Amino acid sequence: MEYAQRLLEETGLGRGRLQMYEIAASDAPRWVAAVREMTARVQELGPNPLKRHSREGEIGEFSETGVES
Amino acid sequence: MIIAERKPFSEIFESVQPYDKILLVGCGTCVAVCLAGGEKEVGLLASQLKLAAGLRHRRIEVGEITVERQCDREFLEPLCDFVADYDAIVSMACGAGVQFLAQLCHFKPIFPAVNTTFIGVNNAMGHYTERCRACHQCYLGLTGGICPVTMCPKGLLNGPCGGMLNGKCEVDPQKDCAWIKIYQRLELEGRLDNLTEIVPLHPHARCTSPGTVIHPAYKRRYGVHE
Amino acid sequence: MSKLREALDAGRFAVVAELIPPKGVNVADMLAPVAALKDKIESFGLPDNKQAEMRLSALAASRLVQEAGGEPLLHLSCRDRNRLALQSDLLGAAALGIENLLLVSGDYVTLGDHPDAKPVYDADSAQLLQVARRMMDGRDSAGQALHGNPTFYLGAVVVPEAEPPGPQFLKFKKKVTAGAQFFVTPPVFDLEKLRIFQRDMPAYPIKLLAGVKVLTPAEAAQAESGQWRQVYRVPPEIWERLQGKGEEDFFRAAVDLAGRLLRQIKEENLADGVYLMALGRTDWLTDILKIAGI
Repeated sequence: MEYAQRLLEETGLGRGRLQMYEIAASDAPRWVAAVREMTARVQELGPNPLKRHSREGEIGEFSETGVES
Repeated sequence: MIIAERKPFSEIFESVQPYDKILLVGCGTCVAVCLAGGEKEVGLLASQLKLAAGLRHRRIEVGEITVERQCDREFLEPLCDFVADYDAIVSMACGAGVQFLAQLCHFKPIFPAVNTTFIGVNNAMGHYTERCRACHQCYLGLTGGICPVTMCPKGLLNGPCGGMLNGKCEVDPQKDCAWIKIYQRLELEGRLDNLTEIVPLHPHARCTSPGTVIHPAYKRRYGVHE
Repeated sequence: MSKLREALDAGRFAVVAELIPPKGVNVADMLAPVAALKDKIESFGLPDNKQAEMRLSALAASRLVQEAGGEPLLHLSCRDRNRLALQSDLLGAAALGIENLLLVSGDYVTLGDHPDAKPVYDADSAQLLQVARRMMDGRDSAGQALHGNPTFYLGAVVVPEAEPPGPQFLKFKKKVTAGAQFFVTPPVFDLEKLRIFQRDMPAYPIKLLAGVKVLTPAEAAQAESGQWRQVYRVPPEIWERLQGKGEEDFFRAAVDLAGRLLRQIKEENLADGVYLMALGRTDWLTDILKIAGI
């Protein structure tokens, strides 16, 4: 995870858009908290700078919220 | 095997700035084992290049291919056709592989993506240490299997030096003094006599670069006469 | 024959004072002790890029010492030169009348102020001693005959406080076999270690110069922070006496200590002579010798 964040940082995109959360399948509250947290962070970071200049699917598989479960 | 480290991303990105179509060539042997230039690393680098280019409002095309080894002609020859479609090649192989690739696929600018560091061993995933300096005159039989040329930073053939401190090396206090290890090993094997004679000066002439080795069975084929 | 050799052969307590080649060409400070001490002591040590810090050439410095009326003890390190340069310097030294040599492996480059320099170590200290000895017999290291053989008084380093002692002792024997005639120790503060070394060392036909040094506040700080990285031990009683002193007082106490250590070494006959390290300062060297009764 940290390594992936580092790789993103290297490109200039920054590490903030990628985060790993460990959530048990039954732990709904935790899931909600994670989504909220990530949404807030991404909103703070602003739109993905690549979005304006790429065609869909061109750049990569990084989703905006970047949440894994 | 050969251990390498991936170059800083900025350096790689900088080197391919002028090009729009880049082919990344990975190597499936040494650099794959040390997680620097194998298929996975090719994929990661390709993504990074595209991301970084995108951030700078550029669209680049990055091809990805990994071959078994870049130091063997049989694995490189099929690549020649591939290469024609691209403006530049980035090889993730060690220095030897990069050069072989450069030779075979000429007239395309080629850039290395890793810094080759040393001949070493795989202690554990992600942890590699140097063991051999290819000095052309192996002393391992004399020193109980511990290389004085490599494991001693000074490469002393008659050690230890006066900087040895509590069994550790003056250069790196985390590292054992190679000569202490050699002594202890030979002592255990009852072969301390090996250390009575002064080991003579190392013959460096044979180490002149670039070196060539012709296997004895092939001497006639390559015109080497006894 | 050099004054140093003569004194040691005759059983007199020999004194060598280390000078500090400058990082530059202003040599006045380096040479200051020579005028003051040349008739009092045997020789002046010229270290060779000590601790891998680039300094004025020890060979050139040795010549300057001679011109100032002193006798040099030239250090030759294996770190910066291959066998060609080493032998070339050996011949150069001999041609200049420099006899006293201290042949050392040399502190590693990364410890000094040019960490990216290429380390050489084509020879180690034992091999270099062999080479020098062979040159005295008229051959270079490739077996070729020399046009005029050099004469040297060969020295090397031994570390009495080495831990573990076995490997260091083995290296010591190699150096004796290779032709070392005298040995210099790192600074000694724990005399008990020197006593043990003298007692356990078989009767080799070599002379021993004990290292005596003026401690510095930097070393005190090192010891205090648990970062002590020297091959010699300083007993805690000594640190206690030096603790909490301002720089001037610290050095006065350190000089005094060096003087008293030297006197004890001489009185107990723990060495055949001394190698004094006092930052090349004439006043400190003079004081140390006075306190030691030399």
